[in-house]
Amino acid sequence: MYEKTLKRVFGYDSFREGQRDVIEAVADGQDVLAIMPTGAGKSLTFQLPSYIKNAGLTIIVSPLLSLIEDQMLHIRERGERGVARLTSMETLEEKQDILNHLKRYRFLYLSPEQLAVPHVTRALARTPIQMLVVDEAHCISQWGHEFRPEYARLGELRKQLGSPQCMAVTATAPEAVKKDIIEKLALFNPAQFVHSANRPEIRLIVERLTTEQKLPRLVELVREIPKPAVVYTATRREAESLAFSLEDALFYHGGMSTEDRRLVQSQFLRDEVSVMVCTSAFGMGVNKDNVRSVIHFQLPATLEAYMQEIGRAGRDGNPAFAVLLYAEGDERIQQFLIDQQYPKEKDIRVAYFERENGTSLSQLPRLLRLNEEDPVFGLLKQMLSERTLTGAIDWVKERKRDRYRQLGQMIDYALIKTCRRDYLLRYFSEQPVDQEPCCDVCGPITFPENEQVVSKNVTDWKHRLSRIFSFD
Amino acid sequence: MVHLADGVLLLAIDRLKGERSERSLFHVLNGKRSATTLQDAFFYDLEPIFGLFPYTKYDYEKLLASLEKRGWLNRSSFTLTEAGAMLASPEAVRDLFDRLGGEQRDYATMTWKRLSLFIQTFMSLEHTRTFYPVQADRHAERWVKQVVRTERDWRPLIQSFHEELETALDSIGDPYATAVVYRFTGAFETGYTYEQIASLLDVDARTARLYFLAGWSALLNQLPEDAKLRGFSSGLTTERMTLSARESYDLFAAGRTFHQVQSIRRLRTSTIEDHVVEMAMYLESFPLDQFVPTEQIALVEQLREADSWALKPVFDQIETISYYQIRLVFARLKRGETFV
Repeated sequence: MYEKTLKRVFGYDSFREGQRDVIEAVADGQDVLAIMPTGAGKSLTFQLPSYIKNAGLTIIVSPLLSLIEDQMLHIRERGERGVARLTSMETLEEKQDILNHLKRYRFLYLSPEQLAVPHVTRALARTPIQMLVVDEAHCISQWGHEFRPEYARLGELRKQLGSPQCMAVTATAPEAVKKDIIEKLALFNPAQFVHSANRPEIRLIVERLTTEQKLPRLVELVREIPKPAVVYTATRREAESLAFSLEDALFYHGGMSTEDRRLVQSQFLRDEVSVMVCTSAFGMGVNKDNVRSVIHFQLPATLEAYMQEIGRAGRDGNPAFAVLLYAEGDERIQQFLIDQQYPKEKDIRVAYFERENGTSLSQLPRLLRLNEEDPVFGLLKQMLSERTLTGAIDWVKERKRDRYRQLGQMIDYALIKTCRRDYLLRYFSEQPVDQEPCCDVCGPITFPENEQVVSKNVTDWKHRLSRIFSFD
Repeated sequence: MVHLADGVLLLAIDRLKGERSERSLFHVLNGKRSATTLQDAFFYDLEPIFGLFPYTKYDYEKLLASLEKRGWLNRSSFTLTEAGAMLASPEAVRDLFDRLGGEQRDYATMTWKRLSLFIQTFMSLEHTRTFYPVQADRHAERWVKQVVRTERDWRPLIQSFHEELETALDSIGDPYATAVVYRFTGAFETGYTYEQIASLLDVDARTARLYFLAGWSALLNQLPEDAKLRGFSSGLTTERMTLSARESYDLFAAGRTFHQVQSIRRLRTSTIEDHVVEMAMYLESFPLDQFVPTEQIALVEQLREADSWALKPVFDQIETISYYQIRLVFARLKRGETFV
């Protein structure tokens, strides 16, 4: 019966590993704590039960606007209209309209702040709620790395809603955080699911090269590997220049206009282009199941980021490839990017000195040659209001040391001479697994024959226009 | 490598004749609807690019620095070097510049967002294909949602849209037609990014974007009054006058005096003066002599330095005139009227 719903609503033939157990627990009415890596298909686990039970609204609390937007887009993409959101982006009238017609909706996304607005809480308390889902649940814990004060009230709000069934989801949760989530949300004897971070379908490869060899090798590799493929790099400029050097490739980064970004994503999703060269801006919520390869032309900053990025390959469960191209010295780019995210010690000193001598905050950017909108300036402002000069300098040093340490772990992954999968799993406190094929250390990895997935159609504009307007 | 798009920006600087500042151009490029910026765009023929280059301060600074570094710009006087002037001079640059149309209250942009999103939505529904909306604009989204839902015989209408587009683009021709058509997304083909269009047309991406803007603007101008496509502009206006100036104008048109208008609207004298300047710039006919004595009008015209819209030289030579009055006369002169 679950499979039927899965096929009818989502168009998939089978569940991914672990999804079914979670869904059964949810459908059974239990509170649930699910720790699933990004890309394991967690949104399906709280959406599907809604179609099985049809017992009212599923409320999803999520901290990030972009996450809400992406998820809604995907729900609508499959033709579901009963989805709405309450965030800072809606006008008062829109919000009121949604609250007045809650019966229309199957899923309601909102930020924790919106849920805490008294008349929102009241309106929701009057409507049948099937389940309250708390996404990124680790934000509730002071032990977590992303504590959000707005999350602290969620337990109390849940009570005000009549204590509906509750599901907490997150990608990472050490023991202390787990305990915190269960306590603060008052989960009752929750069914707990911890997914392995391992993605057995992804073969792991590292190629060590010289800096000069990297670009020619990339060009060659992109021809050999199965596509669609994503190439990750560190900077916008490099994303653009690599895309020009590769066949049938487009670039994607945060500096493009919204319309162009959407065009690129749509082309990639529809297999109209086979290679996407991008910075880490690409991928947030991009649900493309048939990505066959992820190549890293530059090191990511952390192993978590690496796992998340390679995790975009092979979501359909078929074999996929993760290739890291590493040349000695590559880490300098990441070091540079890390340094850029924090104010320089010299600038911190100047800022504190100037403020003490009566310079206004608004004059600082010009004095320091910083862009007002630069997050570094935001950080500096925050430090000025919260810390002493030495406190600020020490804080930055400590943060940077931490980031360098994480980068060091990423470099180790490229350098080790033992199983790469073991290394990754150990990093996520998991037991090693034996699998075949695994990684380039365990045995040679070969790429299968490349099938052509992309269709290209360049014609003169009149033909193109006719095709766009064609009913056949 | 020099591209047409560079030429267009250089020409914009050239047209300011060193009479306005870097910041003036910044506001024109961003389409700021303030009295000064509207006047700058009007007097220095920058309306075609008004609001089409939304730079951040930071990126604008980078742009100017790079123009200077390439030897095209004197930043101290905000004028072009000889090399820069040469790049701004080709007919092709001026032609593209003047085709751009400029942003008018989002008229062109919003019409495009609505039409492109509608076509994508409608054709995808028609072919029962899921799709990823190319536009993220919530106003456009809501508008399209309402329109798509209405029951009507869509097919013949869609066919008219197609024909109207083809006829207009046929007369506009390439490269503009290609740039416009390849931005559309249908049920099976996704629109091209500016980079992709650039490689079709063998130009750079910024120039490809300008080709699209020029083509789209021309298309809107070419559509016959009764074109079905005009429905996508419903509720939008191309009026250049600000809403506030329009309100003052309505009062003037109803016969109120300057003082009455001011006391009704409770605005400062200088604000109402700005409104009158807008009227002088944008109205077909304007009773200039109600605001400036006749003999002074002629004097201003005579004293104006050829090819300059600088106010000060005139102001310094007439004792009993204000900057505001000179602006009014200049506005009518700029519109081609003459009083001597």
